[in-house]
Amino acid sequence: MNNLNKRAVPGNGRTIDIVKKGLNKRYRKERRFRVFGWAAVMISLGFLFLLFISIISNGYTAFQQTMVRLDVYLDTDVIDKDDLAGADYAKLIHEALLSVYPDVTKYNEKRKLYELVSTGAAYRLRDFVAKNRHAIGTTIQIWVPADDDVDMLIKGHIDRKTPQSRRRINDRQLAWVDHLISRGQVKKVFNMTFFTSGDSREPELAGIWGAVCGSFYTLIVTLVLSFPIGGAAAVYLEEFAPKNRWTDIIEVNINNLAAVPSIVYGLLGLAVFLNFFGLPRSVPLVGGLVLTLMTLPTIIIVGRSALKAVSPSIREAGLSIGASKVQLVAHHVLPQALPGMLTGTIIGMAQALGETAPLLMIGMVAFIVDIPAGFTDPSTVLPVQIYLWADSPERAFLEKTSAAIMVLLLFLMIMNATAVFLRRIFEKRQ
Amino acid sequence: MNQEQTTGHPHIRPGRSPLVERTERATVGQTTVEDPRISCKNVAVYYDAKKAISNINLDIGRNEVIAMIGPSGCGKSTFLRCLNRMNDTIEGCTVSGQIFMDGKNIYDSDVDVVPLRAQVGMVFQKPNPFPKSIYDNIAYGARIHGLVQNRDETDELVVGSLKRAGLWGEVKDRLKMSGTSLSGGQQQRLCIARAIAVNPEVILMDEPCSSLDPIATAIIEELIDELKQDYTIVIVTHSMQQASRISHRTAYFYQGDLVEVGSTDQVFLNPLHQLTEDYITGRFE
Amino acid sequence: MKKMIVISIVLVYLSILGIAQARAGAARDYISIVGSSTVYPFATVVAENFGKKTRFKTPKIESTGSGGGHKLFGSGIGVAHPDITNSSARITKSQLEKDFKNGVKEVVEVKIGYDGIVVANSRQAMVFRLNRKDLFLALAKQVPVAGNKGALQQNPYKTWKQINALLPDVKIEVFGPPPTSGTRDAFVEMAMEGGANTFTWIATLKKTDKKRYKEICHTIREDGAYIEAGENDNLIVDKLSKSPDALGILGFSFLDQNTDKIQGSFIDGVQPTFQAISDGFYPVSRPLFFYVKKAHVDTIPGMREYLAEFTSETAWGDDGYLTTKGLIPMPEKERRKYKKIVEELTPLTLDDLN
Ligand SMILES: Nc1ncnc2c1ncn2[C@@H]1O[C@H](COP(=O)(O)OP(=O)(O)O)[C@@H](O)[C@H]1O
Ligand SMILES: [Mg+2]
Repeated sequence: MNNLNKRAVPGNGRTIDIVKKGLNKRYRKERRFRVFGWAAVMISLGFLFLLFISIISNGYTAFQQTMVRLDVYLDTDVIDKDDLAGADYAKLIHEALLSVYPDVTKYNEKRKLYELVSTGAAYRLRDFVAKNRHAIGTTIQIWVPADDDVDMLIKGHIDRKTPQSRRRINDRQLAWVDHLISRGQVKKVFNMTFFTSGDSREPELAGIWGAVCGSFYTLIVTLVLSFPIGGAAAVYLEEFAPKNRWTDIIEVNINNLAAVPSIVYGLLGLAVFLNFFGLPRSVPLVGGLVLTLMTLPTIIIVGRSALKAVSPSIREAGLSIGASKVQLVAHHVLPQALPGMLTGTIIGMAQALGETAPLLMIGMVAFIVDIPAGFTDPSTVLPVQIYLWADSPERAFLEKTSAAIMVLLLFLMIMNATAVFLRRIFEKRQ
Repeated sequence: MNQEQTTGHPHIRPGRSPLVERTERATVGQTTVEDPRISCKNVAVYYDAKKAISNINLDIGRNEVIAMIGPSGCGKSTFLRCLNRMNDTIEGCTVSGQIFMDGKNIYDSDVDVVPLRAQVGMVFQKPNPFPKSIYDNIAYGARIHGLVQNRDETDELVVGSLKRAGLWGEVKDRLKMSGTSLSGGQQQRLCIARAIAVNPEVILMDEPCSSLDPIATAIIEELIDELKQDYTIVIVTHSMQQASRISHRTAYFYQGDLVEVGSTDQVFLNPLHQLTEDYITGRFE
Repeated sequence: MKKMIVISIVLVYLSILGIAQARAGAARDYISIVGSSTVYPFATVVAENFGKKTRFKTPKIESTGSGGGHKLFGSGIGVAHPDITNSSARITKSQLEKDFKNGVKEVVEVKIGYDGIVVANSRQAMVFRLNRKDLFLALAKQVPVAGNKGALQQNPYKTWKQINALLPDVKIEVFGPPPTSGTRDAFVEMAMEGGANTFTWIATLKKTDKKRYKEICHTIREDGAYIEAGENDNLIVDKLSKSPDALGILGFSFLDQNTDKIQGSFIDGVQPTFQAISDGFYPVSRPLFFYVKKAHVDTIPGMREYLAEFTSETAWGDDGYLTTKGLIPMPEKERRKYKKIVEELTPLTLDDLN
């Protein structure tokens, strides 16, 4: 059939020679491509690394806290055994400080002295007394948080060499702190407060637990609503809906919604959930609803592509054996698509976890001290807490901001790792 | 179906009666049989506006193995998929004509495809076991159709089907393993076992051996030989040897037309149509 | 698989129940505060102390800006609406009228102290001695043509020395808040208008053509000399410490917290200090307020106690904890006046605003 003498390739020379001649050029191209790819990866890793370095170097000190030991005389004149809450604990703290430095008498000096310990010290003392009523009338030793300025000094964020007028801690206070250090009355401890408290305007008393709880409740609502709704919508649109103009319009709109700036969802939430349904402001329930609106398009889109990716041969197998449409979807398609849908959901959740803009409109960008205990308690969320701290004038909030970012990143990492982990499990099961 | 000796046939006799012209597309040969299991009347299939097959009239007898041969793209699979209405799942595909089973046109609007497909099983070109355990692969069909009531019955069915498919010896220790972890030939036998586990009356096979090596092919062919005792088998194949080895009758498709039907021996030894002869002698223009 | 579906359905159901419950339990047991971001740092400290000292829940405070806060506050009576709004400017007549129209008939005004707006630069550079006129000429989009009354030109000044021979010969570069910020409003009203008023023909415009007057005073140049640095004053502090030639416009509390990095410029001969602002000598300072919905005082638990805490000497007094956060206290007489208003809950009338 084929004339073997007739060459398919024009020109002279054996194919092998032509190929060899071009080989170097080909490999050079490939090498160049690999170098580009490698460089791109390195650059993005480099930026990530820089981000991590800057956040960690700014924030790691926040995990420690400076404490001051005071010998407090629980004066029976100040503490009324029948009205423990009504006592002036700040006064006891002040007395304890004055007892160390009896030579401080002038009003302004006293104030400077009192400023060495946190205003939270009085509440620590109050809680201590409530637990140890028998100690009233004796002198006790108690570790209380140092003021944020002292904390910054101990952590080296305040330069002792700058002239006094430009320092938040004056020379006198510096001497007191040094003296307390020499007496072993100052120590740095792991900052439990940061992980167990709600927000505070005093950096040394501020913690992220309130925001973590708020994020938790908000995300629970989001997850519980968006996964089933998004999953069901994806399944319906992909598997059951007729393909006509209406479903096309719906599809286009869902894709559009995924690109809408998130603040729009906040406005929608404000109009619908707060103004129309009369739900309370600043609560995780509404936050979760708003974030559900925001994540639904993502979940539907990812869910649909997961369903689309299910091999048609599995569908044929199911149908040919006599499975009905619903059986096919429930028994064969969904189990195959589930890891993809879950991954989409987790990515959506991670997005929701980092979102502040839509929450602004429904009042979740707020100063909230009490730890929320449910879906209808006022609360804020982690990224909002970061934003609020970043906006605070006190220097000590800087490290808190970075520390909170670290916590947020940790949660994001855990969520994304969960996505990978889930996918592994599902893949193994098949 | 008086089957003749099919092996060692001599060359086509010289000087036989003239063949039907290439341009003639009406089916040559006996399309009807007595007491057919399936009877197709004027079946035509369009993918959107494009014709895939047309004017197909063909009876399929009880307990017969009928082979569909023809160049690729001629519409064999399309025809096969008409028989269990798998074409319904393809968007834009329209089927016209009638296909009678038990006196009922399966394309009537009141026919439910679920029982139809329980009755007409299918094995595909590429093995497609469910990504589930071997056990569940077999048990699935019986479970959804309610053919088994309890664990013991299911066990019995799984073992029985695997044995019939000749797979039992190889997998009896690993029924919990995923069906996709088997070799290609084993997977195809698993698919056959899955199909026969719902005890269908007709089995459609679309080039079941095309992705298998010769040894696996031989095993499957043996299996088909066994199965023809109990089932009507419609098999698409592009191997003429295979068709001649296993089938009673052969249908030759060409460009969407059923050109010739006849007993396998007759079609291979004495084709009546020029196109058939072209194909079996390997002559193409 | 089936279990998961069942569980998620149950959870959806539960959360719907939660919504129902939230709607039913419409009572609110915490104080809801909105308003100015300038007052926010002070109100939050009071709220926190109040929450720790008393058995009440800590109030929830949203920083919505003065205008936004007032809109929420004045939208009606009931638990869905805030109880208190903070404001870095006094309520206007039209705002109060709107409140009345929405059923918020009794609004109690509480002045809490002063806030200074400072023009600061890096410690590494010399202290600036500015006049408001210098600020106007440096930052307005259009400035008067010297010796030609009534004529304006595009701001031609590139260095401070071109404006005032006593100022250093460095490029004009000022970091400041964007127009959405309350600090910016206050700055243009007090510093820019004050500077513009030194040109008598502009000052007379205020009476004859108010619109034109505002346009002249409030429009800040857009040629890059004024750099909008976002709402976050910390950013401005950061930028100043990195570029010693630049000036920045920020709240006094940020200067107070960062005296090691930045210093406040003299304005009209006065340096921004606690004392100077409190005594009213520093020209770019403004009073801060909050407004209380009287109708809520006896329905929301803790309202009276919160008001008492805010107006106590420990909070807003000369040595109160608010001063450590940068609030500049009112003179004692004024404090007494507002404490009395709070105790008697005397509502504001339209006439008070004249
Ligand atoms: N899903 C489909 N959509 C459109 N055209 C199809 C589809 N399946 C098959 N066809 C067309 O129908 C004709 C017959 O195909 P098929 O039945 O698969 O041929 P065979 O199985 O004989 O190789 C071919 O021309 C093919 O291109
Ligand atoms: Mg085919």
